[in-house]
Amino acid sequence: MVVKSATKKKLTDLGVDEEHAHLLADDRKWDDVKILNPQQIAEICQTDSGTAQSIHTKITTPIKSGKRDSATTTKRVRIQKRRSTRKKTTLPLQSYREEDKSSQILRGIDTDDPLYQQIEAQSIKDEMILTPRIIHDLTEGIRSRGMDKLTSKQIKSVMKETKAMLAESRVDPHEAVGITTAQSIGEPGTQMTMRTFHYAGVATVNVTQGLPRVIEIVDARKEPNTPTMMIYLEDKTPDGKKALKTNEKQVQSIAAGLETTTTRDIASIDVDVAQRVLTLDLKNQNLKLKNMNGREVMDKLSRALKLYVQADNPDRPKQLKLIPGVSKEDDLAGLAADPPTYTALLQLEDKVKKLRLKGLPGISRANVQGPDKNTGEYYIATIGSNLSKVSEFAGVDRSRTYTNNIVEIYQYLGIEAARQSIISELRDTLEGAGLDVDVRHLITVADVMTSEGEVRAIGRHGVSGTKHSILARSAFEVTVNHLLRAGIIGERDYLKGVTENVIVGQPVALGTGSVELYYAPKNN
Amino acid sequence: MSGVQSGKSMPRVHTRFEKARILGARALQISMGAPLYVTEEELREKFMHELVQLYGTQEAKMRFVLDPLKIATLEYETDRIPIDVDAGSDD
Repeated sequence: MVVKSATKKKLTDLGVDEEHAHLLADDRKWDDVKILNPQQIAEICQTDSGTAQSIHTKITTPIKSGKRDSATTTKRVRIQKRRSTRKKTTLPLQSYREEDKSSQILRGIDTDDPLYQQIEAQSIKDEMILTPRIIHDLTEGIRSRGMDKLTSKQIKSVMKETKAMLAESRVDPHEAVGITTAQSIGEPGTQMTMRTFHYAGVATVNVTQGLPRVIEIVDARKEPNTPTMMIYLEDKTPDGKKALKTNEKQVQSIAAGLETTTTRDIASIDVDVAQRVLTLDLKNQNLKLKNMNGREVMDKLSRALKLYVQADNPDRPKQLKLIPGVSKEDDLAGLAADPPTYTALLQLEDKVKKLRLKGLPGISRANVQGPDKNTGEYYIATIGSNLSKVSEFAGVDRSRTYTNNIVEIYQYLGIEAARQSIISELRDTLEGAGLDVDVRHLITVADVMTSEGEVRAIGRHGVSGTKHSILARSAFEVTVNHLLRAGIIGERDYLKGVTENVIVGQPVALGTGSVELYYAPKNN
Repeated sequence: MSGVQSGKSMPRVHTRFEKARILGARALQISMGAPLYVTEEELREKFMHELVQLYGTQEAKMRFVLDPLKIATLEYETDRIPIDVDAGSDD
C-alpha cells in the first residue's frame, strides 16, 4: 500500500496532524479522501469520533480562492491580455555576397601567381580536387626551394605525391574517431588550469578561460559565466554624414547608448515614509556621462511606471517626485483622503531602483577600445551579451559583431553559425592555454553537438542521455533509473554500440570488428 | 559463405582494419594446421636473415620459420590468401 505523498501534504497543509495524514493518504488520492465521512476517518486513523469529526471538518472546508490544488492536477490558468507591443522593426536579411566570401577564402593567397595557376591547371586535368590553400602551400614549398616554374615531368610527379599524401591523410572508415577525439581533448585538459585568469592588458574585460570554459562550451550552457561581446562599427553614421568608427567621441556615444543605465546610476533615491513620496535627486555629472538629461529621465519614468512625475523645473529638472497611485495631476487632490499605503511605497521604490532607463538589457558595461593599429578604428568591448539587440542597433556593423554566448548565436544566427562558434571558441580556449589540438577533433565535437538541429550538451541531458541503448545510458550516470524504467516497459537493447558490447563481451563494431570476411579463391 | 569475388585483377587496397582481420584469420588457420599457400623455399628465402641468426648459416639451409603470423604475412604480400572483404556492412 503506497502512501500518496501529494495527498499527505495536502492534509498536513490543512492542519491535519502528520500521523493521521499518513494513514489517510495510504493508497488514497485526494478525491478519495474528500468523500470519507467521520466514521470512516475514525476507523482508518483509529481515533475517537471527536478527532475524526475535526479532521472531517478540515477536509471539507471549501478551499479559499487562489490557493493552488496540490493533490489533484487542476491548475488555474490566468488568461493574460496581450499587452500592446510596439511595432518591431527588423532588419532585412543581408544577401550572400560572393565576392566577400571569396575574398575571405582567398586571403593571403595570390591567385595570379603563374606557378599557382600551373598547379591548378594540372590538378583539373588529373581530376583532383585541390583547395586553394593546398595549392598555395605547394607553391610556397616549391618557391622555397628556389624554383619558379615546373617542367611537365616535375609537375606530374608533384601531383602524384600530392595524391598519395592526400589519400593517406584520410581517416579509414570504421576508425574509432569518437574515442580518439575524446582522448585528444581530454589529455590536454589535464594540463589546463582550473582557475580563471584575467586578460593582461585589457583592464576591464575578464573572461573565463581554461578548463572551466571548455566545460561551459561542451555543456551548452545557456549563459556563460563571463558573457562578452566585441562590437565593431560602421564607417559612417546612420545618416551617412559623419565618420563613425574612426571617431572616438562618436563611438563613445554609441557605447553609452548600449550600456545599461538604471535610476541608481544617475540619481539618489530618497523614500519619505511620512509623506509617502519618493524623491529622486538627479546627479548631473552622471547624467552627462550617460548622455542623458533630466527631461528624458522624467519622460521615461512616467511612461514606464505610468505615474505622474512632479519636477521642480519642468524644462531642466533636478529633483523628481513620485507618489504611488498618482497617475494624473488631478489625483494629487485626492491624496489627503486616500493616502497610498506603506507597502505601495516600498514596492514603487523597488521598481524604480530596478528600472532600466537606457541601454540594452544584458549589457552591463560597454568600453571603448582602440584605436586599432592598422585600421585606426575604435571598437567596443562589453561585459554582458545581447546579440539580437546589439546587431540591430544603429551604427553597429552586424557582420562583425562577436559574442562568446553560443546559445545566443544559435537563436539569432542559426545552427550552422552555432557549430562554427563552438569550433572557434574551443580552439581559442585551447590555444590560450598553449595547447595544440588538431582542429578535426574539435570539428567532431561540434558536429556531434549540433547535428540534430539544436545545440545539445554532451552529457546526460543531451547527447549521452538520448542514446538508444539502455545499457549504455545506465553505464553513464543514474544507473538504476534507466534499468528500472526499461524493465517496467519491456525495452530491448539491440547491442549496436560500443559500450553495450563491451559490457556483454562481444566484439565491437568498430575497427577490425567492422570487417566481414569472405572466401575468395585465387585463380592461380 | 559464398561471397565469391569474380576475376578482380587489381589487388584491392585494404584499410588497416581489413588487413589486420585477414592476417589474423589466416594466422589462426595456419596455427591449427591448415595447408600453406607458400612453399618452404619461399619461406626460407624471405626470412633467411632471421634463420641465420637463430640457427647459424649451416642449419638455416634446412629450416624455415614456423610463426603463423609471419607465414600469413608472406601469403598476404604475395596475394595468395583466398580471403577477402566485402564492402563492410554500413549501419
